[in-house]
Amino acid sequence: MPVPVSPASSGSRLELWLLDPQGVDEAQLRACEAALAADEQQRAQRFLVESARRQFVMARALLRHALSRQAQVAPRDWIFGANPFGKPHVAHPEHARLLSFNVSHTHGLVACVVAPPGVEVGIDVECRARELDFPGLAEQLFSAQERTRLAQLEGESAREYFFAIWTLKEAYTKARGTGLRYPVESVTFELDGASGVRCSDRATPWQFLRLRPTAMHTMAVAVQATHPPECSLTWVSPDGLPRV
Amino acid sequence: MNADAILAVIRRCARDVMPQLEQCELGADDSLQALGATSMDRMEIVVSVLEALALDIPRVETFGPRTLGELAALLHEKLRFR
Repeated sequence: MPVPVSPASSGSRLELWLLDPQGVDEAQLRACEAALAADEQQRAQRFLVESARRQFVMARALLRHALSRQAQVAPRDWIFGANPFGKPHVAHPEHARLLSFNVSHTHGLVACVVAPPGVEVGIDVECRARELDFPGLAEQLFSAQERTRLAQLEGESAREYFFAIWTLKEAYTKARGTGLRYPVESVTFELDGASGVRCSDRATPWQFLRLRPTAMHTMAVAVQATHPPECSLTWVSPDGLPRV
Repeated sequence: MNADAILAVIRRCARDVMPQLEQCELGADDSLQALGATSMDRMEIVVSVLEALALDIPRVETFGPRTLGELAALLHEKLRFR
């Protein structure tokens, strides 16, 4: 599926991996689950809602697939840890510990990004079809400038703007490793055309990608880099996911 | 309003935001994560609960609790000292 990706330039290379969860049947899901580590299988069993369990299993299977394309490690052999805010990282094998990745999933899409070693990266994907209290959520997370802009928009334009800003904020805070505990209302994102982004945080060099991988989904990637990253995007078929 | 009543508000708001929870029991020991709430779901639930309770607290304070019961207890404390 063709997706507009920011023009490649000098800088670090990002690998984006996408999976349509609706294409995964029960046998493929069981195979994915069997390929996860024991702690991930236990975590999967703790989900009280089947759709949530499915998304978690597919996200971890996609992540293992993506990481194993970067390093000579079997999908089953990755061991993950997490920082105090829950952001996962590679704990084993030792030689791949600095590989940077992030995962996001929503209704109808699972996404994973892998960045070169030591490069902080975050990704968020959201389904635009859902009904939300846009002003209420913006009150919590948007800057005054962003709230003013949202209030000027109506209908589909307001929806597009809200999801673009939300995904940028979430990708940014995930890249920073804190998630939405970060005071993200203090950071302003300005959209520039169909894919450009300006961020008020100039203390650290960040680059942002805005993507629409499907007609229903908005996706953003934040990466710590001084130049727009070279980027590849791959849709993974269910048969391509790791299995044991 | 006691913590049980606040828990009932949280359950109602969670089901409003996530209709797939309609058939779930939603116990005090359940976490929003185990219920499959994304960060957007979580924020939407918290916003609607705070609105229903007419409570205005920084969102960062709502990140501590891990379970629905812990969130209800936190909001109960905030209401008591409002």
